[in-house]
Amino acid sequence: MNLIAKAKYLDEKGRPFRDWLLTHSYLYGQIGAFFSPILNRLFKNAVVKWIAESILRIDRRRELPVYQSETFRQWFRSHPSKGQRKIAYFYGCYINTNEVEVGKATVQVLEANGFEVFLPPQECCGIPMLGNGDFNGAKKMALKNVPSLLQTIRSGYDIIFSSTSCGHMIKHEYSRLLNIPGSEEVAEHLLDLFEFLRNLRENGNLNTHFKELPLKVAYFAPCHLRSLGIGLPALEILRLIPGLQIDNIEADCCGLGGTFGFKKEKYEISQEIGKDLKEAIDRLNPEIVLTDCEGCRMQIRHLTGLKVLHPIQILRDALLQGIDKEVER
Amino acid sequence: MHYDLIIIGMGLSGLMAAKTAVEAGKKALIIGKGMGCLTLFSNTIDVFGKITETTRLRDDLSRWIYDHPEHPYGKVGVEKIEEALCSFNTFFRPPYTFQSRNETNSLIPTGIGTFRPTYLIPSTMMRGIALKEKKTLVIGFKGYKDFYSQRLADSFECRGTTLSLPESPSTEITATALARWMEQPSFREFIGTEVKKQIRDEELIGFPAVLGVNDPMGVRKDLEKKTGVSVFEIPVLPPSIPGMRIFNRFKERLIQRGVTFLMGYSVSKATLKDKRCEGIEILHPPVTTSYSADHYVLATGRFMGGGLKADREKISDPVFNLPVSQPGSQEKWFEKSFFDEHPIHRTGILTDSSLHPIDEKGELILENVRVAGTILSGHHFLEEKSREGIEIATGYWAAKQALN
Repeated sequence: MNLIAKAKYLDEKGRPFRDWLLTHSYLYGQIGAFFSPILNRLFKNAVVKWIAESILRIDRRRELPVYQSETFRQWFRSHPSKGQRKIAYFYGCYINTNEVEVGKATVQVLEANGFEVFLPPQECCGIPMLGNGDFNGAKKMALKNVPSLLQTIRSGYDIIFSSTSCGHMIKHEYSRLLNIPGSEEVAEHLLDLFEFLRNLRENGNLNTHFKELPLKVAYFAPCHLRSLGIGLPALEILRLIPGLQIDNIEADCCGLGGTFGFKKEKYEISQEIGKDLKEAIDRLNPEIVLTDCEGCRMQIRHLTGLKVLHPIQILRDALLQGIDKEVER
Repeated sequence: MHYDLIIIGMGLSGLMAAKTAVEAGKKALIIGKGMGCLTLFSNTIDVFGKITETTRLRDDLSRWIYDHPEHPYGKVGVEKIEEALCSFNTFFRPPYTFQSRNETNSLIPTGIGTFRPTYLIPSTMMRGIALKEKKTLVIGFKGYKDFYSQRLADSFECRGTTLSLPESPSTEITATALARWMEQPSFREFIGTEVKKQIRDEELIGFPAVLGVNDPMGVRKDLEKKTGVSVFEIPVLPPSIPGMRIFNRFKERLIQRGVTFLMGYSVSKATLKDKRCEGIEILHPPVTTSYSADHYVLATGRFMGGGLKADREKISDPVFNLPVSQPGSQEKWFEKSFFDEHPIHRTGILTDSSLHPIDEKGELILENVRVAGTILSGHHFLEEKSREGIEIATGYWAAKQALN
């Protein structure tokens, strides 16, 4: 309801350039990746951040997301995926240009379970636009995604996602809020990555040849995972890894709220909301924090300075010895 | 997904059933529409407040049960009730625990100015028992409308004072907001200083039960250090912060042990065949997910929790559509005076001695479903002061029997 009111207000009043910039990363992500050596340095530059804050009102205390020079799509093109069964992967913009490692780990774990991964044609899911009250923008993205995803499932393949925000958007908001034709059919065959692995385990098909991983980690369930109504499948799967000490972080919201926490006027409240989470992490004192959402990962890095990964990266490490160790941040 | 046990309802009885299942090494799923009524009403653990004798509650209850075999307690039996209470207690380690005083009911002061008999009392409230003997100062907060210290002071024949809070964002303050502030050292610093100014010769300070959600004993200790006087909590009107503490502790421990929690969802359909529940569905638009289990526990509570629904003619259970014993048509549900005993309080699901649902003729309806908590018929927890006891005992016993 809040979003609908916001959309109406902005339709009448017009949208600030900042909203455009925060919600259209799918357009400039590729360019960002290409110019990443220059951009990443600029993003850390105090002057640039000061300009971003004064002109765009993007808070300078925030670390801007760093681009990677090789996108996930580029990596995947030169990666021959093999397996007995096929599974489609909706990776999302952030994995493509900013956290390629998560995409690689997802592909590697699925392959280790006998699946050939393929990437159906896809665009940004549209959640940043929806969050900023741009229903038409979000609809445009949905109308591009749904036909491609429909074709995938009608060819007999399930689709998994590793970003709970993209996943929740496509699975629940496409139909309920945006009324996209065909989205209900897509939702039936769209699964969270760990939900999918949990199903494999239920049928006795999960590869559990894990090596010991003597690490103390803490897991945080993002809001969009909780609203998927599937429990905490990542926690269930990671508990199978020998040696891994894993605690569930008892806290509500990380406070970033997608693009919300980047806005200058929202920085303080975003930090205030995240305080409970930070305190809960401090109490557990883990070596690494794990969470399925890229927004939460950015915010937890910002709040704690700890290493924060997607749970699939730990699963990959437990499953595959020494291959492609994830990049130190 | 298939489970050993699916529990429908996230109140105290559902949580106890989940605890019992996971401790028996079983795979359990608990589904709840919300946080459960635990966070509304429960402050202490009532077992049978109606008995106010000073002998051991166990003995009195044992005698009472003998004459009331149809009461949920009659079906569980005193021994299992005690076992269940012990099991509940294992989730609470010192310093915040639930204890009885001399295994009898004790009278503790409440936020509406009465003394109420109850059995297991959280550590933060224990000292309230001494209110009658010791000089006490009751503290209220301006804007916190569910707790009038002056009015309480009149009832308890002690002194009361109301503190004004700095930088309070609105004129109305909730228990939840107060509990969060209490966890901040700077807020306690302020409260400590203000209270100290008010103390004359009192030996006890009574606060509403808002001394933080996570570490109430830590908050209390700090306030005692700052004021130099013993502090206790007084249970208040809903919502209940002590109830939230119980809920949070169960949720944390149960997830840690591998129980799957689905909070915010309700069962949209149950498939029943040949006296068995074969599965349930949860509709989360546009997706419907199916779950199945060997056994089910229905612990959805009464009208407030959504376990019982009433229309003009009939009271029903929306999950399994089990028959609900009811006192005739609507005109027979209520008495004229608010304080009279209303027959509607006695409605509920009929069960056999092992908590299986049965119909009026005593025929078994579903052999792999058991019913627990206040949705059961044959009790009047308001009058008996037995809410938490019934929830703990039947939740425990339902799961125990299902998994044997």
